Amino acid sequence: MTIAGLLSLTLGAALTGCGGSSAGDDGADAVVIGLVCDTTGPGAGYATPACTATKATIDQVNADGGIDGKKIKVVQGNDESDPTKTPTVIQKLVSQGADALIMLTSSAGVLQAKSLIERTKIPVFMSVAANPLVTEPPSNTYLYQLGTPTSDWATVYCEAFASLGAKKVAFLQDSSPSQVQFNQGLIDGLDCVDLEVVNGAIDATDLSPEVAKIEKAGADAVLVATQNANFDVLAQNTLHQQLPGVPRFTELLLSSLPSAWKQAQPGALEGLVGLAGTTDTNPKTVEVAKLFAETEGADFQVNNFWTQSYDAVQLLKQAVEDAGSTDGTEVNDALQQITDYEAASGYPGFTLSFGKDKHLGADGICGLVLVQWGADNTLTGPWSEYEPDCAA
Amino acid sequence: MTNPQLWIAVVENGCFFALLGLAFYFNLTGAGFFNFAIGAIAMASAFVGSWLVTEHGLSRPLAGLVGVLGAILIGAVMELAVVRPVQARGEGELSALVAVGASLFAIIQLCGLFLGHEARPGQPVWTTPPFSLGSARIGSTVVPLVAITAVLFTAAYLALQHTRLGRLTRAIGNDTEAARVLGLPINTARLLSFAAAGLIAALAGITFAGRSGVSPDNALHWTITGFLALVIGGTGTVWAPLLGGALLALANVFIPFYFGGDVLAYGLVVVALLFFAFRPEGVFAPRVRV
Repeated sequence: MTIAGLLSLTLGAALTGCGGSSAGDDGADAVVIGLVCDTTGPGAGYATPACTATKATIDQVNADGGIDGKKIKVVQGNDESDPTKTPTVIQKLVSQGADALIMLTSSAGVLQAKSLIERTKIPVFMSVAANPLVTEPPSNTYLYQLGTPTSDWATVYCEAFASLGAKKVAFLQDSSPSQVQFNQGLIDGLDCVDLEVVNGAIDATDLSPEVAKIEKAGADAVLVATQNANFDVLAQNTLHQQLPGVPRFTELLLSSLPSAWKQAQPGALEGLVGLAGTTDTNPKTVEVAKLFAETEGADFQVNNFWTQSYDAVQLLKQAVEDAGSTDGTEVNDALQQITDYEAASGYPGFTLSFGKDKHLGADGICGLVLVQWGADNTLTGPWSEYEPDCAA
Repeated sequence: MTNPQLWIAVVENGCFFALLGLAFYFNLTGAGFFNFAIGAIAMASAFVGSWLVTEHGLSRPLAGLVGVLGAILIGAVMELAVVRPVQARGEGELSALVAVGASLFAIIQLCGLFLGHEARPGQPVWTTPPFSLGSARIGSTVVPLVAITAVLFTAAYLALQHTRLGRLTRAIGNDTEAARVLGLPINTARLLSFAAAGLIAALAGITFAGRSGVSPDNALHWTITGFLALVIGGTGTVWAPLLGGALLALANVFIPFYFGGDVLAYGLVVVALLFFAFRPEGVFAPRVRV
């Protein structure tokens, strides 16, 4: 081994920190999945439940006999959503024998690592990400996303704004570079309304100035666009207090984080409409929720982090079975043959399909569910004004 | 600048920043030392208090008491186990500052490790129902923050200016070596200043966390905020952090309003650089008798 190689491995071990056992000894008898979970960085809010769901699904698959008789083995790393660490973490997991990767971390890191992923020649799933840039060419041969892309979010929001008659909409986003980049596709798609973009610092202690700007602009509705739960809650607290009559919308994160609802002041989330990924009208969602409830307890509430993590493992399982091999290129080819996979997310009839030029799994906008919060800061159910249609 | 809601925000934020600055001031006055763990102590008291309420069903007053006592204890332990041993070895102020900086990150990581990195809801001991004042809405933590600020600054002024222990503390902070030669109780005064700083930081953190919760990520930001309030206000009087906090809050509210929230960080850097360059002693500079 060269000095550079040794240094790379040493650095990798130091940076990835936590665990997973090496697959080097028995990797041939197992399907090795590399799991990148940001459980301690800014993505911990969504990555932690998604990581738990992924491991629980793998346990379930193993309990049912594994994949073609082979058990799934997990090797795990943590890049803390830090794009400078992501390539090193990926290299470490590949060196541990990973046959595929599931990335539960910031899309910014994966964007940095796209050329590396192309060279590793193993399929990489971003189970819960929604940034379409990740799966766009170049270097997208092995990259896949299950989340609905932001262009679909824009379609749904436009229909929702139209149902309220809202023509001027304030778009309050945190101004972190990754969020601004993430939101750009959404902003481009919201050409159905007169959009007033207002930026707030992600670590702001107060959003009164931003809300005052929104009030001054005379917005008919407000969309809070952030993947940071603290920013979202602070924004909702401030909007509820200072603009009580203005309809509010939020992105996909808050509906999946019941723990964050408790941060909001009493009644601050009442009337808020947010994107979600699950509804109990989908029988497969209910079935998957029961599965997770066995380990998570009776109070478990399913959301898209859990269902999409479940689907990612099932899709990999199907691809390895179809390929009859763990060779990265063969599994990748098999993945691209999967169509009309019945998803555990979204409305009944929502499916996922892949192809050589289709790396975003969602078939249509009915993977998205608009939900509304009640006076007790908990979800009351789907929003009554508009529901995305699977036939659309 | 005619929007009253923005001025309410200035008052609320200014009080919080001023309290953190006052905690810094106490440490500086009693120990001649910047305690960069102040933000972490404020965060930890609010974070642990929230954990006790949500996970263990403690009442808010009891959890708040635990949070405050814990903060006082952390302050005392930092002086006894971190700062004093480092300085006693003759390693100078820089080594002690590095040790305190390490303590800040240790507190953040310990909170994350044992209680999780996710934000927790604030559990302020005292809130008031939201109400309107003219066209402005007054949130549930505004009145408590203003009241606590008024009480703590008045108490700090009275304690430092009109009690024997306060005068002794200021004398030791002004010139520790001279105080040592005179045989003054340096260790006791230093210990009390660290404990008082912990108390003030805890009350600030617990109350302010009621607005939208608290997470370990807040610690560093709160430390920088308190330090800036002291840098801007100066160290010439106990009221200096109050002015520094108010000026900092003005910047925090009106820079985003007029120039956008993404400009805030740059604006604060400019404000800090201007003070470091042209008025490093802050608005209120200490008077020195010759």
